[in-house]
Amino acid sequence: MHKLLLIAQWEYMTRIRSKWFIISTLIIPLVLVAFMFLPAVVMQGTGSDIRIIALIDANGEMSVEFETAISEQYHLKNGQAKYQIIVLENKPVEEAIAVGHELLDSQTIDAFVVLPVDIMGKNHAEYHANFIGNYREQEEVRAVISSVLLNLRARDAGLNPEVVKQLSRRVNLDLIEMDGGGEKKQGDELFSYILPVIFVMMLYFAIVMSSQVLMRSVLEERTNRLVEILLSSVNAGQLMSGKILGLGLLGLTQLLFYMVCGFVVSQYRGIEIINTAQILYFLLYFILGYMFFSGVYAAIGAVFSSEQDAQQAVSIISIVSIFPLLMSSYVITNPDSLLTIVLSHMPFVSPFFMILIIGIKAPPFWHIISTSILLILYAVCAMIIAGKIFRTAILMTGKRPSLPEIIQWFKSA
Amino acid sequence: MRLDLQNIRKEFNKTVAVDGLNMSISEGSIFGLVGPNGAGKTTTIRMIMNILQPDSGTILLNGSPIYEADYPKIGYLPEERGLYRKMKLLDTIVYFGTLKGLSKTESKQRTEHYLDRFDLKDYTNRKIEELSKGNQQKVQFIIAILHNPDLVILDEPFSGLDPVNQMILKEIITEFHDAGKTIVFSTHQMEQVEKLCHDICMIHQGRRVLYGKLMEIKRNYGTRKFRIQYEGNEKVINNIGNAKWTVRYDSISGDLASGLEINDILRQIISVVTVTHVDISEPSLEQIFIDLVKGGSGA
Repeated sequence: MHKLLLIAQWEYMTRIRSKWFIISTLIIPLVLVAFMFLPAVVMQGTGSDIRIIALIDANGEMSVEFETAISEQYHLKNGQAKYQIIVLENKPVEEAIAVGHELLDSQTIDAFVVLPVDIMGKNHAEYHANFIGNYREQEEVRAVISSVLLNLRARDAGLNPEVVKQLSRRVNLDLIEMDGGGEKKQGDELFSYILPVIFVMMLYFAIVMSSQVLMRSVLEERTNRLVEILLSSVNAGQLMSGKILGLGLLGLTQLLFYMVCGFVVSQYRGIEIINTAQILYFLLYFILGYMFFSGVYAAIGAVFSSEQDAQQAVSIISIVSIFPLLMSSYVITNPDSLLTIVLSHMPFVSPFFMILIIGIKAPPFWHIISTSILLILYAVCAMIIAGKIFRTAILMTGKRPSLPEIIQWFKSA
Repeated sequence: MRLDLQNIRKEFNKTVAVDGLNMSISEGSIFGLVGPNGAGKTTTIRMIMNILQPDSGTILLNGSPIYEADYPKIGYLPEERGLYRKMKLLDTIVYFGTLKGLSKTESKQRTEHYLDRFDLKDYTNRKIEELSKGNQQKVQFIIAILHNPDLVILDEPFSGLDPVNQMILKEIITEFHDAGKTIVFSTHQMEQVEKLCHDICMIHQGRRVLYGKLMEIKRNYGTRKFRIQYEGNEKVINNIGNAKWTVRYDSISGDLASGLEINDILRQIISVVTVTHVDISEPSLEQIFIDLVKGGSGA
């Protein structure tokens, strides 16, 4: 037991100080934070520049109203109108468009909008720009054209545009999510979709990364024959368990760090990202998932004699275990479906499906219990098989063993 | 510690690596396991170290099989050298010391002592990958002996070391021997064995070809060579002795066949020439080995 702890301590201490670990631990929350905040920043950021947009109104009926509406509705932070409109009155329209393109090329204007002759009937307009990635601007232009068109149509139909405006107000949808206790809480559309995905990614990185480190560590000791010195001091069981324990703690450290990040972000955004029950579930599914994966990866590390060979084997597992992420939109909309429940009990993917579900809603207690029992079963099987393979394979030199040979060891161990 | 190997056999994919090997290594001896490359030395050592399991036969340490509890009493320098490349020298050696049951403080003290002795002090906090190959080998030797084991097994300890470091290694081996510890070392460099070992086991193609006290082996298997220098008339000399001997104007040399002593030859020639120099050379282990292998199967 003492030696097992010595090995665990060594593995933990040597990895936690490595640059690789620090970088990989930091980079994931950074990506996630960027993922969560950037869209918001882009949406809110009106910038400080006035946008100059040229308007080509083929009928000449809408330009005044468009100009008024857009300058009244959108402002910069300093209160100035966001859009400055230049009306191009050249005839015919084709010539106006040519002028618009020249102005774009010389960067005199940021974009130009064409309101064609048949706009009333065909209900379409054009937006020309050098870069059409500015969704926010396009959305605003679209909204203004729509409202101007609505006014024109109302007038044509003999209706009072003000009344129509009142009647056609857009509904504001307030999103309220129910939690288990029946209490209402304010939800956030973006969050309730992205959060479960982030949960899965956090668990995936913590489990798979530490298992990969474990595999590489086994592989290193095997290929440089350090294992001979190690096994003249400890037995194979102690070596494998010590490594699994030490690198498991490493993954746990990473996971706890992510959770702290989650809390900080929660505080900053004022939205509950992760609660106590979810943290406990995270720990539960990390430990159970890691026990299974570490066994599999330790065995792979012991069998293959080069990193490339081992990576190939591992990539299959990585693809299988990323499957829940691909299924996330289905699971998020159908967390109770039979398919979701069946998938959440499968080896390799069970912990990830569960954490996906937990990110959406609190699953029933039986679901937690049934998946836990199965995961323990998977983990025990993986450990027994891995232990047998590890004991024999770790000392092998030379060529990669064939499958029949591995089966033979398994029988003889 | 006494080590006994009884009828050890090991096959790899139907190739016999070790074939019915018997040997006893008595406590306090410096034992040489010799043989050419691929003879089965490393396989034998790996079986002693419990790294490989023999297909048949038994290995006994002080009369009983080797258990995990015996590990702290055994030190091992494997033939293939590897270390944690990215780790610091001191940390790595201390870690292996603690795995052998030393306390952290003790392991650290001893590590510092040996680093000093091997002139590696300046590298204490350097990464192992910054060390030369020879220096890495010294580190591995330190790991093998740090916990002051009663039985030290060294697989090719001298290969790749310069003469100065070979000297330090020999000094430490001698110290361990003086302290009554058992040392087994394996090498294909037979002259190393001749300088250090009292007892040897020579294996070839997995079989034992020579075994016992080095002196006795030399006496029994080798042919001593003699060379007598003289002044006088060599024509007289031509009439005596063996046709195989080489007679020159100032010397006579050849094999000293069993039963024949140098005095017998001297007695014959001393009356006709003036002997200026007499030299008898012991057979080298290498020569014995070559003779044995050429001559067919061994002992």
